Amino acid sequence: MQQLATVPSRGAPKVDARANDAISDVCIIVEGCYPYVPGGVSAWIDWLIKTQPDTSFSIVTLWPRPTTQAPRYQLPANVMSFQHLYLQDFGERPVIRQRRPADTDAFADALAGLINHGGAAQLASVMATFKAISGTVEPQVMFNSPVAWEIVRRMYDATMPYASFLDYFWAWRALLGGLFATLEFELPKARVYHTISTGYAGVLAARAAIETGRPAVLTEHGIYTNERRIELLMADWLADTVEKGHALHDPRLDLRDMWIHAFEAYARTCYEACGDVVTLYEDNQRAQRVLGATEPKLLVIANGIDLERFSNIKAAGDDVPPTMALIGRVVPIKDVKSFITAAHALKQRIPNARALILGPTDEDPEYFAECEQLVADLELRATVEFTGTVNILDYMSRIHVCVLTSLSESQPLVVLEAGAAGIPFVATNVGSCREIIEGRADEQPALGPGGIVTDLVAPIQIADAVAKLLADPALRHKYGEALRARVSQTYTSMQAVAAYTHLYGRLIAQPTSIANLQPATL
Amino acid sequence: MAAPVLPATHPAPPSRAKGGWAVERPNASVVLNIMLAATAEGLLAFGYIKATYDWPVFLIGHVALVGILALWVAAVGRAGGNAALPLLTAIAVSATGPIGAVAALITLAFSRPALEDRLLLEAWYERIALAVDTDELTQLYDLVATGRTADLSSESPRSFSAIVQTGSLADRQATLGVIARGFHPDYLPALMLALKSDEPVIRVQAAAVATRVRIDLRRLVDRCATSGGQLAPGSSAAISAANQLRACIASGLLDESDRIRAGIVADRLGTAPSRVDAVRLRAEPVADRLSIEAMLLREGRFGAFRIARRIARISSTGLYRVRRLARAAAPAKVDVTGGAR
Repeated sequence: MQQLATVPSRGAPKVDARANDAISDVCIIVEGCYPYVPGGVSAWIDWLIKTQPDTSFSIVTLWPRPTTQAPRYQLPANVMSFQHLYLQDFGERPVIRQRRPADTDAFADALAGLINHGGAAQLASVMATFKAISGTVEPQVMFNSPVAWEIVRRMYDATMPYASFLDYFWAWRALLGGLFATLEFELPKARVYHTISTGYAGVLAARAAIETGRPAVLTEHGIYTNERRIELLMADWLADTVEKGHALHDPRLDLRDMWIHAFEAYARTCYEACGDVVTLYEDNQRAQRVLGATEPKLLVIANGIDLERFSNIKAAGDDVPPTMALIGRVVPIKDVKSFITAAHALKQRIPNARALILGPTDEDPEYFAECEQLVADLELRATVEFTGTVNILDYMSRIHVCVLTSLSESQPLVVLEAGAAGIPFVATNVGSCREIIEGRADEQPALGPGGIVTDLVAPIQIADAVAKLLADPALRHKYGEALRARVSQTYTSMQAVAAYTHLYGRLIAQPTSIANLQPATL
Repeated sequence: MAAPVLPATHPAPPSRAKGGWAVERPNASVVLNIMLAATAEGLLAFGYIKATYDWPVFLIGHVALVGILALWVAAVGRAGGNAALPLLTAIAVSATGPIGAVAALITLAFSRPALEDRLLLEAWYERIALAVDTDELTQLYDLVATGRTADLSSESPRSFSAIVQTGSLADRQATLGVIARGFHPDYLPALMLALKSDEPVIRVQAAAVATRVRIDLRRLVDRCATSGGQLAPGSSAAISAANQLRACIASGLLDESDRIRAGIVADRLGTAPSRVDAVRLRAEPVADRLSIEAMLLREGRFGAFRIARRIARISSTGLYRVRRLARAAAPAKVDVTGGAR
């Protein structure tokens, strides 16, 4: 299932194969982004590696199956190896006369324990029983062999004997395929294993910590388990095999529950096995605690920006029309339609107001067309302008208020960038927006608000907030300066770099200790 | 031939071990051919033992017979038949001559009617491979047999809005999942509360649901705008549609242009109650009449409400008379008097 760096996949970044046996300082484990998806977490990983030039890295990227996609990032010079772990590339066919292990029940029971409850001890049980079976059946063929059949039957009997076996079987294959791939993957040697999410990447990091005795660390931008839960609760592709109606406490476990429990269990396993659990802002820690992360492990390292880039930008004056701007891609998650509706409401109060939308429009052409139609319907062609991809530095001196109408964010860089330029911000209450705009409760000294936070999908609130700032230059200046001071104080790139340098230094120096995990009793 | 009904929950292939080592029971021609082969081998052996001919003749005869058997196996295979027994016979005869032929005859006694099992096995495999759909009857059978139907003894669902405000985190998330998967405009107040929740996790999920629901809302507005022209204003269907549109508008999830369009359609469909006439209202089913009355109360149109109640009361007696009286100063659009006799 996995492909080692010695045989790079099609389109994969090529790395010197000679370095594969060397021990890197940090092995980064990332799922579904770097180096193939631009922006967001990928950009952060690129930044992290480049800003730690004295640290050597190896990278394991988890991807569904071999890809022909071209990487969007050039691997920095301090990356020693790059490997793929394919989660949905279901191994090889079993050969004829494949030997079968005498007993697969212990492995099946351990797997059931892991996906239902999670935990480092459960993972240790799975690893031990998997190793025992691997002596008889090659891991690469196990998932398609009679061994897997025996396992799925036993797990079915143990967990959902009343459910449709067919649905269970296919759900099991999809769910456990990734786990098998994670179990059989040959770990690169490293001093620290750093996963960027829970899920399968988190399980691999947990396995590395148990197997090698080296420390594992987790950095979560968004809460992966929560994202999966939302996706699974809304998924149409998952069959509801038990008629529960609107009952929320029906004790009969269904496939949807099984999936959600599995990802929660993976998260629990990762949180237990990792010595440090890092996130970008405090609100995220609430979810991490709920999922089992213990207080001493929790740490916040905020993203930072380079203040120098924004230091020479002058505040927009009265010589330009009152202008608000949304900086971001034109996609549904940014709720650009609420911004346009807010522009419509704003125009009723400030007829010469302008609304800029600075960002690429080609990612979701259908949504962009809908936005254009909305602009036409509301007769806002003279007010709203889609600029496409631009250098925001060229526009910032013409913007009085920046706006973010997103439905979901973690720690949006645009808020920091606007703050560095002294532009007040109106944002929906998502991710760390409130924390950046209003400051943490324990902020010393308290800097005051740097803008206004609104509800989600509330265009009238947004229009009110923007109108308030546009009508009052003194307030606008005050908020802009407060935001600038907060960004300078808390959200600089240098601070983030120093925090990771310190974290890596501490973990690399940590002695190896194989945890004495007793296999879990089921 | 229809595939045998097989419970979807069947976790294992149908057993093939009922009669020991099973070979499908052959048809008459196969039995006859095996008996002929056994007889031929027996005669060959008998002739050699009695020294009727020398061993080369015996060998040639044996090889010829094996060749014929091989051709038979190939013919059965080409015809798509079960070649197991012919192949077994050919191998046994070629290796051990008459003894093998006798062994093949003995095998006949152990064969069993495997056709049913084979069909069952094929049906099982097709179901496992998702190559066939399960008919509704089988699905229903599965649900009942395995206890996956709705639990009628469970407690009634709580108000979604109440759960979103005071429920546990898991309950709130599950509720939002239900709203997303089975959207109805009546769920919008709960969704709006979730969007304003203090819990970030709930806000994020509510936002994801809102993104998805917006598509449903737009479809609903389109549908009402299209079919609204065919609905008689004031009819229960029109009022129901108008109420749904108003719920959509109140949610704030509609695009501004859709909101304006929905408002126009809702006003057109929902203005009719003031023109409700006795005959149509009388014809409404009880549930619809109650729905109209509830709307009149909600909108504070108590005059129209009183008239509606009066009509309902008169109608319920079964004996009534409706008269229209010319009243110059009467502002009411509906003027109904009458009485039971």
